[in-house]
Amino acid sequence: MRALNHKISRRILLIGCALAPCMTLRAAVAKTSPLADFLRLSAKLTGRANLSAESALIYMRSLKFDRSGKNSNRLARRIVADWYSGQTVESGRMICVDYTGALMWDAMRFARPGGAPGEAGSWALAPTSE
Amino acid sequence: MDLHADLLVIGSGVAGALVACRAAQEGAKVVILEAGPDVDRPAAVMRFQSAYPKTPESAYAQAAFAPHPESDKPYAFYAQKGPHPFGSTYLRQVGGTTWHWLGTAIRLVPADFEMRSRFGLGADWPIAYADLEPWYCRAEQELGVAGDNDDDLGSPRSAPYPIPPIAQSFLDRTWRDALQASNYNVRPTPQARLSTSSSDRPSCRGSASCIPICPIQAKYDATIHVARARSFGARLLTETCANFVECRQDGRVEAVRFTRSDGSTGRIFARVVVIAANAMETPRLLLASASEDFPAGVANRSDQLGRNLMDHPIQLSWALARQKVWPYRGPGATSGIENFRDLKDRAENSALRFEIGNDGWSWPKGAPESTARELALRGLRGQELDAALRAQTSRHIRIAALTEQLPLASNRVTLDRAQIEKTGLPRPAIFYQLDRYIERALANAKHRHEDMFAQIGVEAFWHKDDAQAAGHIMGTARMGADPATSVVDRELRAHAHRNLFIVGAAVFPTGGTANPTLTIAALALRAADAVLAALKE
Repeated sequence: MRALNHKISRRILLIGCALAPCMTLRAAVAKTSPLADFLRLSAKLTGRANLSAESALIYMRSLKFDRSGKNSNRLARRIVADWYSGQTVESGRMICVDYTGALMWDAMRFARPGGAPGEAGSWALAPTSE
Repeated sequence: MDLHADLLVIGSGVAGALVACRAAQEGAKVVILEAGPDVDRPAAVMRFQSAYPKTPESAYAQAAFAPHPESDKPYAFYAQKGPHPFGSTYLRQVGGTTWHWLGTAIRLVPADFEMRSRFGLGADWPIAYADLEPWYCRAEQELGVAGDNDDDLGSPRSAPYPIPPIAQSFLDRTWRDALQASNYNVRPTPQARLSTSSSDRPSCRGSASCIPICPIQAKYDATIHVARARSFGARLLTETCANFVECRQDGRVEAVRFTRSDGSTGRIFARVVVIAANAMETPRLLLASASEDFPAGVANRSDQLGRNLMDHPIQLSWALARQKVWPYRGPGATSGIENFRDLKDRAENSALRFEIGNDGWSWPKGAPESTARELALRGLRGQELDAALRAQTSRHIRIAALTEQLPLASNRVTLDRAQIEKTGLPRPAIFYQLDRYIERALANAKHRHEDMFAQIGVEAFWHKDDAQAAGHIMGTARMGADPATSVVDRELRAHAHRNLFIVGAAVFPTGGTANPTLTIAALALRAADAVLAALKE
């Protein structure tokens, strides 16, 4: 479950307006747009479908994604790092984009994002999903 | 705006809340001043989840009126005057710093009260462990401390813990089994965290975010006693900062001036005043209250106010275990090694308290995010990345050794009068340094950690080069029998000010190696008796 907060919403508004005035997020994804391309590439690199369009907008902007195809191996690694950690480097500073939706939790499987209650005493046993 | 009260409590953290609660319950008219705001718990959880870096303060909005120090910006709040920047932080909000404490509720050991007579170091407390022991029991009741009655951890007990122990983690038991044949005794940690649900609070469900916030209040925080105090009739004024304590020539505190976040000001007249504003804000307020009659500040004839600033400098070490231990689950720490806190050679070698972390490498490295980034930036992808991330993070262990910092008169809080906060208080200035006793302690801790890692079996290990701040701010208004060398007496009453008391860790003459909150609570409950007696004077 994602924690979509006001900070992210404001970013989406700004980025969305920069991309294509009056274009809704769904429309941006549906058409062949930079966002759609970025999501397709991200899905390929991470092996996950159903990636968050809101997060994609932020990663795409901070990574300066080039839809012409001249994206380097270095950029590919950065894309994976961002989706897995839920963080990106924006203007030289690390920021949190999506903590609860970061792919690392899905990869680890034995731990959940902090701040959400689980099962009492679960930490006393080895995880069942081995 | 003029207010009148029987008892004024400045600060709504654990110390102030306990005193306010007791006094209000006995029928006193109590006013609590809190410089900061109320905190909305769900909003704070969301703020933490969106934060980078995830510091202890990251769940709590910075306030323009009464800002708080931040761990990742050591030069922003404090004016750092010494060779070593002071790194411990606190919160200014209803409930105080218990919002983000870990919850460890451990006692000092008897020798901690007698450092000077036993080891020729620091100062003796004017009370013995035996004097405080019944109050430790009361504090454990009030905070709801879960503990294991099989081992008193070096602090003799006259009553059992009120709540059964929090389960040790799988990770703890790995440490314990590996160190079985050694002299490192791994024991469950007493903590103010419900292991069974109460009528109004749920038991711990392993949210694994204790620092900075428990989303369900299974971990104790002082809003519990603030609410209880208010239910007995205490009045809470939030975003209201005390900035001057007015004293008569004979030392009697007449009134306290305050400023509110809306810019309005006022005075509170109270028969008794208790300052419970933590070991940074307490000297800050009293030093700022200098007058013709009290040129060095209120309660500072000894020149000890603000001095003897102590923390527990921490040696943090981490390792990649050979076996899977499944960290990043459960409370931040559920076990520790307590049998190095009371050795015979403390004159040379500091006591050490070892805290075993369930939180993987989050503290030293910002993992698991940092691990995910490292592996991805190396070029791993897909199932290979998933497997590597799981294989690595499942073996993250860390240990933190709390060392004992001795009181040094030169380690002190003063005022930077060139910078005045919106509250009217000058910025705190800190001169702080670590001495050879600490340097030796940190080096000893590194050796101990390596010894333990070798017995557990690790692929690699690392040490932080610098001491870490513990968030345990102590010593700046110390207790003592002699008014020439101390700020408060054994009842926590300020020397020369009969109706002024100070509660909180500012009064500790030495810090031992116990996380301070339980001792803060015990002292506050004990002082409440003296406060009630003073109200009758």
